[in-house]
Amino acid sequence: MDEKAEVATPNCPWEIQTITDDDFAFRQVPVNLRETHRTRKIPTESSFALRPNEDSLSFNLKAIIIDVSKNFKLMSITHTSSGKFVEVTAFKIFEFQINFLKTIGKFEAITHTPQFHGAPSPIGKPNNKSHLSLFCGEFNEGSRVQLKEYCMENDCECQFDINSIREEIAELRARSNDTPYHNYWEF
Amino acid sequence: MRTIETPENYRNAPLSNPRSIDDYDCRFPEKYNYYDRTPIGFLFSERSTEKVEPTYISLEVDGITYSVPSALADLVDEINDSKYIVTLENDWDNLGAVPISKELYKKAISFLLMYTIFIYKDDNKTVLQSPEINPCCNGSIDLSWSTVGARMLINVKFKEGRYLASFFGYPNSTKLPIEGLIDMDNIDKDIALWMKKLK
Repeated sequence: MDEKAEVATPNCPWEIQTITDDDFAFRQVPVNLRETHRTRKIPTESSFALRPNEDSLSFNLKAIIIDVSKNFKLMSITHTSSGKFVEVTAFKIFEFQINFLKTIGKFEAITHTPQFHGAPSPIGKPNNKSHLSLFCGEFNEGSRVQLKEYCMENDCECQFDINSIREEIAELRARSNDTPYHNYWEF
Repeated sequence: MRTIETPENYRNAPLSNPRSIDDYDCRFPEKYNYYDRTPIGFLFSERSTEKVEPTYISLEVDGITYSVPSALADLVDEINDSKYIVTLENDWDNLGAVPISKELYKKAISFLLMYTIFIYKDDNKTVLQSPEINPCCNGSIDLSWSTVGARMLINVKFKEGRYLASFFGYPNSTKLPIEGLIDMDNIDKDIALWMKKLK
C-alpha cells in the first residue's frame, strides 16, 4: 500500500523524515546573559527550560542543516520579538545524539517538524526544513540535569568562529527574504 | 664533676605565674606580613581573653536585610551577583523569554538562605557549596549544585497561585535519584539532612 507521507502543516512542501538513533541534532543556547564576574559552565540546566506556550524543545536535524555555519546563518536572519535580527554571537550550538535524547527520563517523542511560513516567508521569519521537536513533558528538573550533564561529559559544544561568516550574514540580511532559507531550502 | 653555671645576666621566669605557649597569640598581627618576621622568631602578643562572637555579613535584597554568618560569604557573593536577574526584560534571551518577578526572586533567595543557614547552625557549622542561581526563560529560577558529594537542582516558580520549589538530585556515590516538592516556608528536616551532601 502506498502510504501518503505525513507533513507538518497542510502547505508544508517537505515530507516528515524518520529520525534514526544514529542521527544528531543541534541546539542553540544563549550564553552571555550574565553581567557579573562569577563564571558559568554553558549550558546551564536553565538552557533547557520550556518557554511559555512551548510544549517541546527545538533542535535542528544535522542530516538536513548539515553544518553549524548554516545553523548560525539561519539564526542570524531571524527576528527577535522586538523585530531586530538575532545577535548570533550571543549563542553557542551544542550537538546531541538522538540515541541519547531518547534516554531522557520523561521522554515522550522526538519528531521532525519542519517550519514553513511561505515562499518566500516573511523577513525575519525564515523557513526551517531541519526543525525537530523533543517532547519530554514539562522538562522537569531531572530531564534538564540529564541534558546538561550530557554536554559536560561529552564536550558536545560545536566550535565555530562566527567571524568567518560575518560577510555572508551581512549579505543574507541585505537580501531581506530573497534567500534559500525563506524559500524551499535549495542551496 | 663539671657543673653548668648560670650566666650572671640570666634570669629565671617567675615560677609564681607560670605561662604556657597557649597563652600567647602566635598569629601575625594584621599590621605585619610574612616578611616582617624577625630573624629571632615571630612577634608574640598576648591572646585576647574576650570571647570571640561569630561575625555576620549584612545582605540586602530588595529592601529586606538578612544577617548571614560570615562563613557563608561565598553564598552572599553569589546572591549579590544574581541580583541582575530582576532587571531582565521581556525577551531577555532573544528567543521570547519572560522576565523574572521581584517577588519570585525574593522568595527564592529567602528559601535558599533559610536552608543554608539552618544547616550551618544545626550541623556544627557545615557550609554548603554555593549554588548557581540562574534565570529560566519561563520566568522561574534554578538553584543548581554540583559538588563532590552530590548533584541537586531546585526550581522555584509561581504556579497556580502559589510559590513552589521542585527538586531533583542524586548522591554521586550511588546516583540514586530523589525528586519532589520542598516546603518553601518551613524547614523540611529530611531534605535538609540530604542537602548536607552538598558541602
